[in-house]
Amino acid sequence: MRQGQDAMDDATNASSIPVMMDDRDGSSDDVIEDRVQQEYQWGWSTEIEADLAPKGLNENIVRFISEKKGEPEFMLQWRLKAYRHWLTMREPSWANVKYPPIDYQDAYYYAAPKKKAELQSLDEVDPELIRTFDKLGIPLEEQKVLAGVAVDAVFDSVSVATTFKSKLAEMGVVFGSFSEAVHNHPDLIRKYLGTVVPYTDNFFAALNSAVFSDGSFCYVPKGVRCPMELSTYFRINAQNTGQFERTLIVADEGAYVSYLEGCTAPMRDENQLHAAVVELVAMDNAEIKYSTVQNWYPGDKDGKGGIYNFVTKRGACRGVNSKISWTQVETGSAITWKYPGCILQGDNSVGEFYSVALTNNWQQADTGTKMIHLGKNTRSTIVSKGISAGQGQNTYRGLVQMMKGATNARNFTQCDSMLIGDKCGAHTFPYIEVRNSTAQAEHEASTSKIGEDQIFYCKQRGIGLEDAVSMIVNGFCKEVFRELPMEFAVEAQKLLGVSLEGSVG
Amino acid sequence: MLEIRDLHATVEGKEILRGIDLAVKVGEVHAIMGPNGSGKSTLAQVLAGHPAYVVTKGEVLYQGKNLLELQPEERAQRGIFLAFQYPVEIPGVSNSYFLKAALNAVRKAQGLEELDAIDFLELVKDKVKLVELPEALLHRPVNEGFSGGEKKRNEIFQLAVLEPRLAILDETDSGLDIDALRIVSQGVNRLRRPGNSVLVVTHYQRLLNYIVPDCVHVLVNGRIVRSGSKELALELEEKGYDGIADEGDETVAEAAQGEARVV
Amino acid sequence: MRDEPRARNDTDAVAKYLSAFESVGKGSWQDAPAWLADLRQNAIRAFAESGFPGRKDEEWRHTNLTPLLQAPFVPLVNGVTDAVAESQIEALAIPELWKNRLVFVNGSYRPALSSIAGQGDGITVGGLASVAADGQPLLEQHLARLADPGANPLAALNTAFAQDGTFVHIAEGASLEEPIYLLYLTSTLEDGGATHPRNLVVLSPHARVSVLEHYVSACAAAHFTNGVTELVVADGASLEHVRVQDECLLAFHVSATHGSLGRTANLVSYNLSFGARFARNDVSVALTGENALCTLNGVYLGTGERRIDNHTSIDHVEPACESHELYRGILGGKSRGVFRGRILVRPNAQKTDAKQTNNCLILSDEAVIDTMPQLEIFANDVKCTHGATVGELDEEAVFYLQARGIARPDARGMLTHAFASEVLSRLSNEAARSFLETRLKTILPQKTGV
Repeated sequence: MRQGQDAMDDATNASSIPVMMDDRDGSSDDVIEDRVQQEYQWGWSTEIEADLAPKGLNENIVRFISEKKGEPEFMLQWRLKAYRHWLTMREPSWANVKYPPIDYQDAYYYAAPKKKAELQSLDEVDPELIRTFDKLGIPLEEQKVLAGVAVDAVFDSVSVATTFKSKLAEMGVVFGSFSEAVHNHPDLIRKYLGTVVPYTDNFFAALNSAVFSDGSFCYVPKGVRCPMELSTYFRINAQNTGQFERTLIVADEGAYVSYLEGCTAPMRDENQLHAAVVELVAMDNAEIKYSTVQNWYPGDKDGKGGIYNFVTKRGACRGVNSKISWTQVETGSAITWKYPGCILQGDNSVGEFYSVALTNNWQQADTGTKMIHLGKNTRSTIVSKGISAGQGQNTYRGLVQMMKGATNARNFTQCDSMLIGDKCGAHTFPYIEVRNSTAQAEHEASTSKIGEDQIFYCKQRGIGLEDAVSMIVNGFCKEVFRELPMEFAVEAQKLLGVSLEGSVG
Repeated sequence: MLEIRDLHATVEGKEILRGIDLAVKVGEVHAIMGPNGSGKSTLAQVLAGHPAYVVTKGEVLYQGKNLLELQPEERAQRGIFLAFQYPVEIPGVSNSYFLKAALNAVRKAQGLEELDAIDFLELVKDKVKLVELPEALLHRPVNEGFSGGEKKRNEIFQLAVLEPRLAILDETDSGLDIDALRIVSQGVNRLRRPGNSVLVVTHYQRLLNYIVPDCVHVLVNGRIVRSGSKELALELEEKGYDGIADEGDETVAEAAQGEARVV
Repeated sequence: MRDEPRARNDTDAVAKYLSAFESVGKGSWQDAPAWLADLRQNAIRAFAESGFPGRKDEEWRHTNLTPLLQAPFVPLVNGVTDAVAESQIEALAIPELWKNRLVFVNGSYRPALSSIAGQGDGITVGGLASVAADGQPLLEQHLARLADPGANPLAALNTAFAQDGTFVHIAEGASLEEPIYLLYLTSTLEDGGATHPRNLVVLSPHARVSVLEHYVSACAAAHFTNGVTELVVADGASLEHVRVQDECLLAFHVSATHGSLGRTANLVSYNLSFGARFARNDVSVALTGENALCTLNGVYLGTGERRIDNHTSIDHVEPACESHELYRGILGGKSRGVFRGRILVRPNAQKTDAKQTNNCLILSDEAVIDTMPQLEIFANDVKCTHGATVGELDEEAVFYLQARGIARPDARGMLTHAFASEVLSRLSNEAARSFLETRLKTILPQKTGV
């Protein structure tokens, strides 16, 4: 049953030096002992009617979440193992970001929106929620239908609406909330959950595994090309609610799926933790394209508030000729800590990472990718565009590993940073590790300020300063934007312009 | 159209323009000639409002209003166009997207309706032919990977689309072969209208065979030392700048009188 | 800070070094002034606190010190084996540079074997210990200022144990045409001997000199060389610093080179790692005056089971400085290489122009390279690039040579040699260049397979 897991562990172990980005902080027996002692202290578990679990985290909360979601025993056991492992870990400190310590006992780990009963259709959804979605520009209705996009909206950790499932179901595509999948397709969940990002992977992944509330699940069966872009929109609402989404996408042999993820969050004063996990699995000849536009609340211009976005995303190219492509546009969050990666296990498999990360005001981003080449003729391409403005600090951190078996593997990395203003920073930390003489890795990076001659040229043609900056920055990011689905590309370009407002002049 | 009075300008603290007086009337074409380092391009950049150049003295009136207090984009929106000596590359921004943004910014400032994509394409199609610019270049990033000649033609193409009132051509002929020179000049000539003026900045006389000026000014060491009719350009060709500069300071006074005549 | 108990071998090793300091280290430099004794005492204290760096230390994460810690290395005190003939020493030296030399055997300065032409005239070259005993004020002013014992435990060990080394001072406006050649020879029949050579080169404004450090062994024993060199290059001064490490394949070699550059100063550094079973080189340069120029070149060759780690750091403190860095590695057999190159551009360092390149050739399937070029940029008006490539020889080039009739293994051998020789070709001294080219030919395979 856990073959996938074992294979993955082997793959990870093969990289005898798991280097940066892995949580290597050790355990403290005392702490574990303390927590174990506390376990049943409160004595409440399932009888609680509340849709909001009390603050704090302990085994009971984990049991409560699992119970609340009516999960089968294997899920509970998995969560508990994750939780116990989490207790042995320490928050990683190697990233180039600074923030006050997080009190994990001062957060809520479960919140559900009020609901009347089982929802049969969109009409039954609280109209207040629908209006909020509309305000955020998330079109759940007709225009989405026409655009051919199925929407699985996660609101406060619980899926409230899912459309298009029947059409997808006809083709055998399973797409919906993670909770549903746990009930309807436990075999698939058992088979793949945690096989790409095991709960032991890092501190935040362990936390997520223990307490994740919901997320999306997608399975595309053999030979099926998913006919529409799948998308989800996330939103943080209730105060002090840590968000722990969990996404799992599996493309079976010869399948294709393109998945869009977009985030937007309303103003908040208090920092909020977001620790999502995304796992992708591509079998022989399968392809997964995963695109993200991340625009969580970045904090105000003085650096107050904003989301902590500590995400673990990883794809496994298990099969021959498989391909996983990550495209991300990160403009939001006070802190971004995220390294979507690919384990290129299958021969001839391909991994891609295209990223735009923008930090303005006091935002900090430490983001990049991991490309682990295991199979023969594996290829990876990394294109990263970092833009720093205001007091923003932007770090690219990327690992390219060519393991023993990666004969003729190739990597190309291009990392460009643009600085706007003299109080920001741009940093580049690539790690290239090669253990095969026929493998080749190439890394290029450049850092420069936004071109004054370019700005003048635009202005001489009548274009104002902010438009000129937005245009030049968008041009700088072109290579990444063209990887995005059309509708996202437009959104992303607008976002950059908005995010850069006030950064020059 | 344009009136420059005792204009002094510095770059990085070094004085380049040391008192320029010049007036260009509506419908006229003026040529500014001079040796390398005389300040020709500086004058062009100052008129366009390049931030690296600091005006230390004097004034510039454009359509009767103080030009120097305007931002570069405001000058452009009021009809001043500079064809750059070294057109700038903007990676990732397509030529047509850039030009549409520019055109609409100018139109908006002038109270005209912005053009939609279809009307814009229509307009562009005509103008592209005018300068024999391969249409493919429209979809490439601004000036990126263009040959020298293509860059210069692209400048004139932009000129054609934006239809400025005052066009300043900064060494547009440099680096062009004869065929390209002819194409560029034709482009400029077809855009000459009674209501428009052109300021041609050039080192060589040959461009003036194609774009015939009403008036030629010789700029040496930051000052206009002589002004005259188009024949002055031929004289320069014959004698060289040294010959003209040798005539010394008296010519400066003479030039000043010439100025008066031009105005 | 370390928050977990040290590994056992670390604790043992630290204890052994501490007791060696009590028995041996303390005793040397008896004539030394009080400030120097304090410096050494503070250094050993810093080392006692930090212990050896481990995998928790980002700077040392990729360097496995375990083999070094398994057996303690005790300072070779005044000639465990002193019987090295002068002819034997000369045979290992670069002949053309012999006229202007300082020779060190097992860590001690040998005045009888040394000779410097052109002393006086603002040129001071001598053994560090005797210069210290003479009360040279520059020593107190500069020693251990750039190489902070608190920041690098190995440099702390050097500071505590150093018996001798080289002192060079070139006075304002003075220059020396001939390179100063420093030969550090280890000759011991037994395993476990250590030397901690310590060098200080001070260039006053507008001084000019070339210094070449050459580390060799006249033995095949597991010895440990732990060198520290500090380079102070004042305004307008110009220094070429060449470090050639060509010790025997049982040797452990750790080095730290620290430089600081004043306004318009120029430093060209070469760091050539040809020998030793374990080598770790740190080169750190701070550009502390406007318009300074720093060039770092490096070549590292891995054969057998050797390990070579190169760590460079260029700190752009002041505006308008330039730095160029080119490191090339060739790794065969089961060797393992690490390159970490850091460029830091501080907020004040506008108009910085920094370029860093690391290229690595891998000749065998069992060789391993980890390369980490790093940019940390806090100023916006800068031009910074770095590039790293890892891979095989350019097949087009191999084919081109084959098409001209050169057999494939020879073609590959030629191109491999050329890959390293491109860096050596930048050396200013013709004699040194040709000597090192020859060494390169001896070390690198003439033919390489596949």
